[in-house]
Amino acid sequence: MTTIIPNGLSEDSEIQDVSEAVAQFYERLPEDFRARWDAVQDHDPATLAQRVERDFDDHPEERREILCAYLAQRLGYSWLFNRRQTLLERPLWDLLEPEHYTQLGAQEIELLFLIATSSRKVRPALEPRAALSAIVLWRNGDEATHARATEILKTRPLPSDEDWLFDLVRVLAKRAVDLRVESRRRLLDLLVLQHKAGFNSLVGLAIGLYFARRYGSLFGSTKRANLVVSCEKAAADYRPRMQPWLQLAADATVAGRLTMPWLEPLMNAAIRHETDDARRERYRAYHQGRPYRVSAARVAEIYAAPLRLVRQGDAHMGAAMLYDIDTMWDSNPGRAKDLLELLIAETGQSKGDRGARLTRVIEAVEVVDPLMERLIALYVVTFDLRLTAISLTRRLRDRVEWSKFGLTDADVDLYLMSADYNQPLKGQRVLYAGVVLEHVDKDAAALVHYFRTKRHTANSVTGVIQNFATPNEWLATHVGHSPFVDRMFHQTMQAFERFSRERSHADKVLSMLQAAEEAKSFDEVPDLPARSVLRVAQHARHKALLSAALAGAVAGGIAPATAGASAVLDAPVVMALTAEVCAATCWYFGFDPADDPQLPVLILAIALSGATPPSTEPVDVHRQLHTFMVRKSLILAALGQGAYRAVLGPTLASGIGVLRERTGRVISKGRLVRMLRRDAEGDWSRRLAETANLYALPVVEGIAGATLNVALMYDICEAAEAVLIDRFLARKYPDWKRTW
Amino acid sequence: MVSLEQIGVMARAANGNADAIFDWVASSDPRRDHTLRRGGDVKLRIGHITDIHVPSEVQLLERLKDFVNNDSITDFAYKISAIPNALMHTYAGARDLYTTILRKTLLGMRRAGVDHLAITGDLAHCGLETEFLEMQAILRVTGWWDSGQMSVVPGNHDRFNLYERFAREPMEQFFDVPSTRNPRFRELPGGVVLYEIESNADRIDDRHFMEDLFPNTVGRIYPEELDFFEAQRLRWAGYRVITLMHHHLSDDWYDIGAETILGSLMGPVDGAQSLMDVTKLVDPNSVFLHGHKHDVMVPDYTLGAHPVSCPGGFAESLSVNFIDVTHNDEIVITQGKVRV
Repeated sequence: MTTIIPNGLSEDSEIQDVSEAVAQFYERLPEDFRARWDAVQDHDPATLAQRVERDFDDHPEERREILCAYLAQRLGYSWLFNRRQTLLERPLWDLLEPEHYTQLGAQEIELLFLIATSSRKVRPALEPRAALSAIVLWRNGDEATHARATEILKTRPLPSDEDWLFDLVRVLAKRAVDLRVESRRRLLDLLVLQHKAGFNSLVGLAIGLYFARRYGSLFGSTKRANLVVSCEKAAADYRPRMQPWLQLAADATVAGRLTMPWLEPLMNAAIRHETDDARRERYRAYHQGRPYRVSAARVAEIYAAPLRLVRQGDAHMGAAMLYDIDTMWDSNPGRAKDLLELLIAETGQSKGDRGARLTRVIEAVEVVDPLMERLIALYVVTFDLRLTAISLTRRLRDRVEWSKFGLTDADVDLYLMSADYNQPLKGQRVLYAGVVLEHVDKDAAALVHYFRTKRHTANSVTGVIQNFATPNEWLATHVGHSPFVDRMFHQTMQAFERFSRERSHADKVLSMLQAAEEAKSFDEVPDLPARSVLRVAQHARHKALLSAALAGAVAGGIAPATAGASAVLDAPVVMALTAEVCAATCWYFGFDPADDPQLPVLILAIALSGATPPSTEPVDVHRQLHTFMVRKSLILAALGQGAYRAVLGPTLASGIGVLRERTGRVISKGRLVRMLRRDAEGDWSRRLAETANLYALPVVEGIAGATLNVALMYDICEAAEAVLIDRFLARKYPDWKRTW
Repeated sequence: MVSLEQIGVMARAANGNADAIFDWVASSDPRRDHTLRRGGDVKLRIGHITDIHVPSEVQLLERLKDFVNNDSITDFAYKISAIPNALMHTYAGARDLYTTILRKTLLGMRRAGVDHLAITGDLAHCGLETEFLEMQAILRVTGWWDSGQMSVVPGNHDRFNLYERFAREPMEQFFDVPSTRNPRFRELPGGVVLYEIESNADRIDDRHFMEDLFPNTVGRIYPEELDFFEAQRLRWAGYRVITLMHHHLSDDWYDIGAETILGSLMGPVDGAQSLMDVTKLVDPNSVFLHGHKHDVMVPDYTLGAHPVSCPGGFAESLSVNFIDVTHNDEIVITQGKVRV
């Protein structure tokens, strides 16, 4: 083909070029909504329908957007005052009102059909705008239109998006609006249509939302709990005009074998008020299996009254509940188990809440009665992961006749082995960092690995204190750091360490391991899983942290009242605690510190300097601890005296230095100092400081004292665990290369 | 003592009521009964679970403290972003419980008659060896390991190690997975083929600018992956194609978070449209199974002509999807939630 160019020149062109140009024009439209809005203005509906059908057959989203934009203009929407999303959705919602619908001509109604049929075939449900268009036509169209729309609504369900469906229910169920349309075109009829088409899940959800709108809380809207409560209220507030709704709920539930929890009260009501015997029997046959998905708490709520009667000794009620449990065995075993537990808890004589009563009954049971036998079987069927369930099944498995419940020994074995974390892992080996380890020891090995490779320096808080610059003009600085005090500190620490080393903790550790059912004798410790030992050792950590926090809080809290002198009072406690933790932790891992007197010092050195301490000589390590203690006490004492600037100044300066370095010296030193000084010298800041001295200082001091002690103790415990796990693994696995 | 393999054999023979383990939540076919038992018209059932994030017991808090010491600003930001990652895990302090829940779930899939298990990434939480080993043991106990009935693709958490920028032991040491630019097909019974791809952006040759500050969360489809599919399209003609990937394809099914607005992180995978287009060469309605976003996708969600499945982060939602291929080659996605 030859394209004629106006100026007389010509060039060859293929016909495909022209169609490509057209295609490009249309393809550009979806990218630019404004252009599309302008473009559709000039089209009459017939041409638009033709073009859209031809060019956007495989682009349903664009097709809907173009047609909705046209309808928005037709209904008087302005580009200026609305968001794009409003323009693309609101017109369809408006058209649900008959007075808006009557504004449309025949051609425009065809546009609505184009939207209504625009869902892709792969979509299980109608696209929301397609669904709305179909409903508009079904509700407001003439007979022929209504019939065509009915066919669309029969082929696919409405969207199951809860918020969208709730909006639809709200709009369609407005009584004033509903009365203006024919009786066979109301919300109920729409849902009946969907039910007859087999879309029962959708109907079940929509009915729940319908009652939520009528009986639910204003803000609960689509939440499941709101739906349940609303349907309960609706069932209790039965009125004859509700009957069709209850029937529809029950029909959909039975036909779709629905399990939504809010349908249960509606089914109860439907059975109660149904006059047709055959229908009622059909409802009852499904309902007695109680297939509805409810939580254990909800089961307790539903059966509150019968359980109370059982507690009062009503044997008939107990038998009835047992019948219910057996009926639910196949249809809802989870609920059967929850109910049986409640029933068993009510048979117990002890006091307390149901959970505690059940636990006591389970722990005391020796004879397997029919109730207990059922419960154990249900634990296996539902794969209950609670420890009480597992231990009960393990204890009494030989007394249960499993075949009665369709279970085999293999089912029970599988349950007991899989539900217990440790059971299947016993004896299993893995390769970690080139060493074959027991599976349960892999995390301990990783812990050592990451401590060794990541802990290069002392930990954050401890590190800050160690780097704290003590003012030279203070007398306390000179006294604290004097050789005499240093020597005294060293000797005292040695005494504490000797004392701790010579105390055996074997019995204490053994009793804790026995309580945790990990070991029977202390000699078994080396063979235990490292994670089990570590868990028991954590008790020691918690105790040490608590003691350190208490000592620090007391010493810090009274510092303002003792002119700062009390800041050193906790030093002996911390020293003793340090020595004790370093020595005692060894026992948890099966080591006697008397066999290796260097071990506690090594732990302390690592806690204060990181994984590779510069020295592990006791005198050096003790000096480091001494320095830490002096600086910590000076900080607390100075804070107690209100010498904030003296304390915070040097520390802040080093912090600011780091900040300036990392931010590329954006903030100049002089500017920063000017800013700080301007704020600190103001009248308001003086008043604030006075108030703080009086009321807040003891609290701040207490917290600071506790924090600093806890930080130190935490580091010591952590270092102790890393070092001792390393040694523990080296003792257990000859291939494991010890780091420390 | 019973070995893991023996337990695995027992697990493969497990049967029973799947509805005792899972609650039925929703289905893409509104005509189906509310049950997770396998229907008579199903010729293949795939169990889809994603974003498992098995945590470790490496005392996260302690290690994270080490991170914030003595670092550059960029490293600091990287590691700070790792802290909520480590601490916000629903079962961060309860690894044993989480492991048993996972075992229950995977045994429940046996009961539900699942023929093939699809795990779409993020098996590990911090990319540590111990987490991979833990997941391996879970799969052994439940009989999926070495069964030939399992497909795994890597997620972003499997590729970055929280403690070491580049993992000492990559995921390949523990799982047989496809890698970036090297996808693969896996034929399943019933005329179904799985297209397994790694959707993480290449961390070495194609690093996203934000990854200096935050761990790898960007997904990308590379031309090599498209070419690979195209080259084999004749071989798989007539099959139903199910693509397994980690990153999501679209963002209209969840609320957009700050992480997407700042630095285009956690957005849909780059090249999603090309991927969908290329799979159409074999199956015009090919199915996509993915994870990454922890929101739960409704099972009747479709993107263009493609059904998509994303049961969301397992720790938060405890959800799994069952993808049923019927004798009519229809795909039905049913969602279940583990009863705990």
